[in-house]
Amino acid sequence: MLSLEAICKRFGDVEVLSGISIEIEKGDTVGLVGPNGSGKTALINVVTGMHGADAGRVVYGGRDITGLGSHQISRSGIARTFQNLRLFPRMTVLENVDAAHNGLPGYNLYQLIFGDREVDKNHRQKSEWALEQVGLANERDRLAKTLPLPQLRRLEIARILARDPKLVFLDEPAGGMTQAETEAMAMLIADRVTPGRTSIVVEHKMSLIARVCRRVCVLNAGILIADEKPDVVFNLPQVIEAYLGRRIVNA
Amino acid sequence: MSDYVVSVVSNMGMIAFIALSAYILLVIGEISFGQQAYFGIGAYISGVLTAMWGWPLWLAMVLGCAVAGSAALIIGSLTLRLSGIYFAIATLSFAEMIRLGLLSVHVQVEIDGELVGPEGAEGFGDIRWIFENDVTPFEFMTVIYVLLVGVLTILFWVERSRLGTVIRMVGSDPLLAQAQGIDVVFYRLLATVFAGIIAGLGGSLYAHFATYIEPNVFNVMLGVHSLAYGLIGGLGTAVGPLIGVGLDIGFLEGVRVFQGYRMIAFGGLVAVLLIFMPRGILDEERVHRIKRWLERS
Repeated sequence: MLSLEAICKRFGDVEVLSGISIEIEKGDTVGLVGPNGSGKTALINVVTGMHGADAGRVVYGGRDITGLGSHQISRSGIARTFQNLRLFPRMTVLENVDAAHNGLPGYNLYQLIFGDREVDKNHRQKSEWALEQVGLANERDRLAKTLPLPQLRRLEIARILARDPKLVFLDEPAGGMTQAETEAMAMLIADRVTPGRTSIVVEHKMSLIARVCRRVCVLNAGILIADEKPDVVFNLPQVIEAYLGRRIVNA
Repeated sequence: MSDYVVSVVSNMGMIAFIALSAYILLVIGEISFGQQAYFGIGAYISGVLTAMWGWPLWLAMVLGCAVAGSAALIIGSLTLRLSGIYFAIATLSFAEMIRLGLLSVHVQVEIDGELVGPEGAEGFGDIRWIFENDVTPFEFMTVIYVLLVGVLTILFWVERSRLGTVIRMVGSDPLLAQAQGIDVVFYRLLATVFAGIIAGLGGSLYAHFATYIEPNVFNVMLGVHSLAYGLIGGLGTAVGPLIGVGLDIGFLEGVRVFQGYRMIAFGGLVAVLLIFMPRGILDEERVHRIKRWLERS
């Protein structure tokens, strides 16, 4: 489904990704963890076309997508959320979700201007369905910027559901949330996002990773130091030393 | 209607075109100080075509708009990688290049014993279409407003369409729009060209209403004003820039309350609004509230 082959990325003198190679099977849910600055978001940015790779290849569904623009990559069925929430604050909740359809391959300029009643109706229904799935149906007419953080994170998930991509990157979907909110988000991801699609989840909260992912990749200083099942990876010495050390000592 | 009122109302209509042009750029997320260049191009091209070559006005206006749109396409392509202050300065530089270029254009022909055509800083007089065709200022004002309503109808249509949402997506967060499959470069160019055409249309009308134009009419102050109209009136709807034009030309200039102090009053108004209503009177939030109120009632 997704094959990352020796991905390298530098920002000036700093190498943020050093030959990362990961194979992800169709339908898999993979956690991507590591300390701050380890290259998790950089890797997502490279795969989704926001940053170009300095070396290596990204192969998705048998097609080399390295170097494509992020809008082209998105149109091929890849969607993402952002570590720092990105929404259209001056649009309503429903408009935010419905807008996610505008970049789908089904819309050409003519349809964007004059509309296609059937397609528009279908997308509007999908948007409303997505809002119901994340529990935001009652907030559909509110401006997005008036929502509290946990609901904004859910709005990002609704946007993903409405687009129905084949491959999803969730970048810290529980960032800034309380324990209870994190558990609710983990449940939402496990029940609504991961079934039937391939997912990569970046998160610092190990409870969410353990709940959602079947496999965990650990990055440290731009190097892949582990790629195992969750119960194995959290006990690997190199992972404890690089990332989980303090937690284990405290425990 | 007195000549003075016709003149002020016509001015409002013509300036509304360039205000709408700057507004489109603001909605797409860019500040342009250069829309006056397209206004000037439309004015000069259509003026030359009717006054020197005897073209019918509508055809001259079509070509004026086409050339303005083409210039916008070229400048838009050259400034694609720029944003924010860099884009603003690039548009200002381009507009000044056009203005200074027009100062050195001396192309005149003799018609009925008189020299007609652009004469550098001396300007371009004898754009006599309105006299030759016995069109009264009131009738020409009607033409201005019919075309303005046409442009507004297109803009309202676009605003309600998915294209309008795409334009606002690009203006609000180009990175997110791109991540959702929107070709940001294409839509930025599309909006830039459309904005250029609208400004060109306004300029074409202006040349034939004023019957005399000179390069300095299209100076940076015209660009700054057109930008300010959108910022005053609001970026939530195309009605916004019209409110800005109405407040400045219709109220401050037309009513003559602030005679001699208009620019102080206008500058103060812009400053106050930018502090308390950074996206103008009819910003997206107020437009949203009005829409909901209309839906309920």
